[in-house]
Formats: sequence, C-alpha cells, structure tokens
Amino acid sequence: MNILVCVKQVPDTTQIKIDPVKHTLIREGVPAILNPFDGYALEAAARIKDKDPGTKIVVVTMGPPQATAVLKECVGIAADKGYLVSGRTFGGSDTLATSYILSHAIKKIEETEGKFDAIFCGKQAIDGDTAQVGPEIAEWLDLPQVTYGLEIEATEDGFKVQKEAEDGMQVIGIKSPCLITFTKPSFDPRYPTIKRKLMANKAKFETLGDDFDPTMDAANYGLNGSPTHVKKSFTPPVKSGGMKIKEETGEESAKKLAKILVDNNIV
Amino acid sequence: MEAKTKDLWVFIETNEDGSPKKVGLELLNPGRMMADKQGGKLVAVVIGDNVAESVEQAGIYGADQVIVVEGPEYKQYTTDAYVKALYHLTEKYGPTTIMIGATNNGRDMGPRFSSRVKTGLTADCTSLDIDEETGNVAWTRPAFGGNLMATIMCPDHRPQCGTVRPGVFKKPEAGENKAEVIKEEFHVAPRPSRGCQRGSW
Ligand SMILES: Cc1cc2nc3c(=O)[nH]c(=O)nc-3n(C[C@H](O)[C@H](O)[C@H](O)COP(=O)(O)OP(=O)(O)OC[C@H]3O[C@@H](n4cnc5c(N)ncnc54)[C@H](O)[C@@H]3O)c2cc1C
Repeated sequence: MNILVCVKQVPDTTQIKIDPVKHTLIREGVPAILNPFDGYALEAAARIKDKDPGTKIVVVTMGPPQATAVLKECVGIAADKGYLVSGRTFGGSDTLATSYILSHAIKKIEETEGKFDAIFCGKQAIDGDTAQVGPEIAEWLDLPQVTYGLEIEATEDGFKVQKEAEDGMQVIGIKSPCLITFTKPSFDPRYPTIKRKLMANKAKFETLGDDFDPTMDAANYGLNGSPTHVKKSFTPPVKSGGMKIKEETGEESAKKLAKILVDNNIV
Repeated sequence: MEAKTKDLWVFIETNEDGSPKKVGLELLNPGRMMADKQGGKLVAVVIGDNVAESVEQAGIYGADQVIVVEGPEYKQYTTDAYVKALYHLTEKYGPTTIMIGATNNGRDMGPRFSSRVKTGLTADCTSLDIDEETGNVAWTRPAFGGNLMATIMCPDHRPQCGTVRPGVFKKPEAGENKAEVIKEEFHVAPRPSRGCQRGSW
C-alpha cells in the first residue's frame, strides 16, 4: 500500500493573542506546529501500516522552507519520506490555487514514488479553517472522496471509512485510488519514538520549486491566479464573559439555572 | 463560467424523508436581501427524493423560483450525484451567486462543486452583504480558530459561492407561496462504480 498524507505547518491558534490597540493578531512567539487534523490523517496511515508493514507513507507540505520542520516531525512519527513544495510564485494562493499546485505536485511525486492508493488530508487547517483543499485536490485528480473520516480499514479493493455525520456515524466503502480527509478520532495519535526522531534528524527532503512542472498554468495559482481575495480582516468583538452558577448543592444550582432561563424567556 | 442571470441561488439540502434541513430555509433570509440588491431572482435549488415539502417550504419562505432535481439516487447524499446535479443546473441557468449551508454535506459538496466550475468558494460564512462599490458579495467568515474575521470577495469568477454556517440567520417570515416551480429531469447512476457505498463497520 502506498499512501500520501498532505500536511500543513500552522501557527498554534490556541496561543494567538489579539493586540488590544491595533486589533491585529500577534503572531510573534506563537509556535508553528503540525496542523492537528493532519496528525490524525498521519495516524490513520500509521494504523494501516501497523497491519500491513509493507505500506509506504509519504508526506507532502507546501509552504516556506521552514515548513520542512513538519516533514521531519512526520518522519519522527510514522512517515517514510517527505517532499516540500515551495516557491515564491505560489504565495497568496487561495484554496482553489493551493489545490491546483498540490495536485500537480502529487502527480510529480508519483513519478518517483509510484501511484498512491490513497491521499489523506486533515479535515481542515486550523489557520485558514476552510476545509476546502482536500475535496478540491480530489476534483483536480478526479478521485472519489470521503470527508470527516474517523477510522479507516483497508479492504480488498479500497477502504472502509467510519465518518462523522450530522446525525451520528456513517460507514462508507470507497475504492482506491481515493482521497479521504480526517477529523478528530476518539483516540490520541502516537508520539514520535527516539529511534524515529534520530532517523528524522538525518532525513533529507526533496523540494519542488517554482518550476517543478512547466505544464502548470501560472494563471491558476498565486495571488493573481486565485478567484477569492481577502478584502479586509478584523478582530471579532470580544464575547461578554459567561455566568457562573455555583450554589451549595447541585439541586440548588439547577433550580437557579432553570429560574434564569425561564425569567429570560429562553425556555 | 459566465453568469447568464443576476439570480442568487440558495441550495436547500434535504433529509432522507425529503423534508428541508433548516439551514437552507434560513439562507432565504439574507438571500432575499442580497437578491434584491443584485437585481435578480431569489432561486431555491432543491435536490433529493420525494421533496414536495421542501419545494413548498422554499416558496413559503420567499423564493421567487424553485428548481427541483428529484430521484431515488438523491435520497441519501452522495458527493458524486449531488455535485453532478448542481453542476448541470449551474451550467444551464448561469446564476451569479450560490449559497450553501455549511453542514457536513454542504462542506463536502461545496469545494468539490466550486473546483469543478473553477470558481471561488468562501468557507463557513457568518455574515453576508453586497459590496456597494463593486456589487460583489462580501462574504465574512471567522478564521484562525475564531480569532480573526475576514471579508472575502470573488470579483472575476462566476458564480461566486459560499458556504454559510447554520444557525446564524433566522428563517424569514412565512408568506404566500408565489414561487414558480421548475422540474429538471437529471439522473445519475444510483451507485457509481468506483464510488462510495454505505456499509457497516
Ligand atoms: C483570513 C483568511 C481567510 C481565508 N478564507 C478563504 C476562503 O474562504 N476561501 C478560500 O478559497 N481561501 C481562503 N483563504 C486562503 C486559504 O487559507 C489558503 O489557500 C490556504 O493555503 C489553504 O486553506 P486552509 O488553510 O483553509 O486549508 P484547509 O482547506 O482547511 O486544509 C485542509 C487540508 O488540506 C491540506 N492542506 C492545506 N494546505 C496545505 C498545504 N499548504 N500543504 C499541504 N497540505 C495542505 C491539509 O491536509 C489540510 O488539513 C483565506 C485566507 C485567510 C488568511
């Protein structure tokens, strides 16, 4: 089995603070991390490899040179190889443009690594938060897709995926090659081992630069090749803090809550 | 794609019993305001099986026109069938704007559809307006885990598309149903050969 996992380096948005005067994001000092949902996608691939040790896991990231850090982290966890897609002309790409570049990068990587049976993505990146790049890559590559995956099992001709639906859980059978995006499962992903970390420190990653595929149409990527544009950004109004109810007993708290809800016409 | 009309479409997602999901009806509310500003019709697009109730509700909540694609292959949502149907309708009628509820299915279908059209899609919007200067939709959405709001536009590609978070807008007031209903016969194979099937774990 040959699996590609798309991973993105993101700022740890749980540590982002807002400048109270300028109303902008303070990015300095915010650690850059592996997008957590991509960690779940990698764990799904690792679990397939646990059962079928012949499996090869390749990771790809698009971003500035320092994004190699997430490739390293992935090798420390479970990946066999990693590729960096990095070029000045790629900057400013929206999701359609990003998926265009990544889909070409995937075809390029397949020339070396062989056809992928599956491409795994995170459900969404915690910075852009769009959850669009996965399905868009699937469209460019004409692959069937399952989104919101939780758990996965290989079958004879593809995979069985347990996915999150609005009204509970669904199980979908999908044939390979295919693309699957993953959300947070009920288990924690594994940590890197010391042995793998040492391996990761020595790992070299090939870079696909601006001209990695001369057939790519520059009208389809970068700031100018992106259909959507961010016109303005601002910080949301501060939410007024909640209310704490802590009476002597649970019963009294419940009564007080019920009274507040009734008095305010909420129930 | 070229826009052939100034119409604004609201996708009405249906349940398996053919009733409408709430978010589709909610979107008819900002949809009315925006369609009026754009100078086109407010059109509800209903895809599903046995969808009479959804068609009726879309009219009651203010759609000028309802375009319906109906068939057993649409009873359960599948990416393949829904994207094909919506793409077919878009090609045929050429709306200028499409709004989709940001449910799990809406966020599965939206990017697959917009990338087939090769247009822009703004994700999970919480506020909507028409930019006075350009007439484009100004889609506003949270990013960075809710720490930042961004207003996004899609100036040169049509239709301009967005998914909109459920529960943000209230359903419009119910009124007299004056909607023109158009039934489109469009069918796809019930089980795509390579595709996805429901099973058990
Ligand atoms: C404030 C703000 C709002 C934005 N809103 C929109 C919008 O509404 N619509 C739009 O089209 N663009 C939007 N963009 C642009 C968008 O954030 C970028 O195109 C970004 O590179 C990809 O989107 P995402 O981070 O949302 O990824 P998602 O689509 O959420 O990512 C899903 C998965 O795709 C894979 N993936 C994503 N990026 C990469 C990468 N660089 N390398 C490898 N794998 C990757 C990962 O597996 C990831 O988990 C916005 C940008 C900003 C700054």
